[in-house]
Amino acid sequence: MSTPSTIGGSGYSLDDLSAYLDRGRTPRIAAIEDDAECQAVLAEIERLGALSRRLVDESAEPVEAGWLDRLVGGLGRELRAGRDLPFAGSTPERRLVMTEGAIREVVRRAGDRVDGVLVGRCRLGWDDGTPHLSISISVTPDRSLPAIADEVRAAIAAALDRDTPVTAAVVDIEIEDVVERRSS
Amino acid sequence: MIEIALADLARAVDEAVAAVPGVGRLFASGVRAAVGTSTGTPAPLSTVTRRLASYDVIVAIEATGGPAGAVAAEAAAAAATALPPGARVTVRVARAVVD
Repeated sequence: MSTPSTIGGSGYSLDDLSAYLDRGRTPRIAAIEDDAECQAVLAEIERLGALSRRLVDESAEPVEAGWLDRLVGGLGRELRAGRDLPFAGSTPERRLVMTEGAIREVVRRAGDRVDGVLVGRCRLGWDDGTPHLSISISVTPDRSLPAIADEVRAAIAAALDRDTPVTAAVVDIEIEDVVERRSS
Repeated sequence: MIEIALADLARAVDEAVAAVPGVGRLFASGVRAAVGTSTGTPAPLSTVTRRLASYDVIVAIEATGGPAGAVAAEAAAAAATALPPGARVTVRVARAVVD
């Protein structure tokens, strides 16, 4: 049984996972390697680290201290497995489900694939049965901000449609940070 | 009387699901939870079947191919081939890493 400060059923905290990653995932800890939520968190820490380093390297202005910590800080909560949502075609004899945490991970990855975008917060809720996603992003303003938001929204809709039981979601996007790119 | 070692059953389910294209990592197999932890001793198939019928056998997967729902359906079909008839199977996509 997990507690709010530990990830999945591993008994390890976000800080523990971060330290484990820093050690090169050695010595191997089975409770972490065999836990889906831990794997999702480790993957997100690595991806956030790489993407944020790229943004920071390209930034013309010093990036606010604690920015990455803030992004990473919510991962444990956001990637918590949560409820099982059934895929179409699921039957009582063969249930096909996806966890809410896995859905949020799909959303994050879809948003991060858009050039110059880094997804921060990602929340999945329901309004009268309609799925409602609320995400925050950091961007480089190479294009107009509405165009970036539209691209992120389209990428998320495509990923949801392809790989999750959640379709026709309302997607709210908040642009939280704008990171100016250095002129080359 | 047909007997089956529960550990072998759990292993067979894991292997069947792991062989499905698009299935990456397997997380904790629910077969062991369904049939108990004392899995090494052969037990009558009728006993195993009765116990399985009381549970959902849950297999948690990481989908690395897509669409994830189709991978889950194939994983459920594969798990069913390794289980006695009538066993209920739940495939839980715990991660979908489809890049």
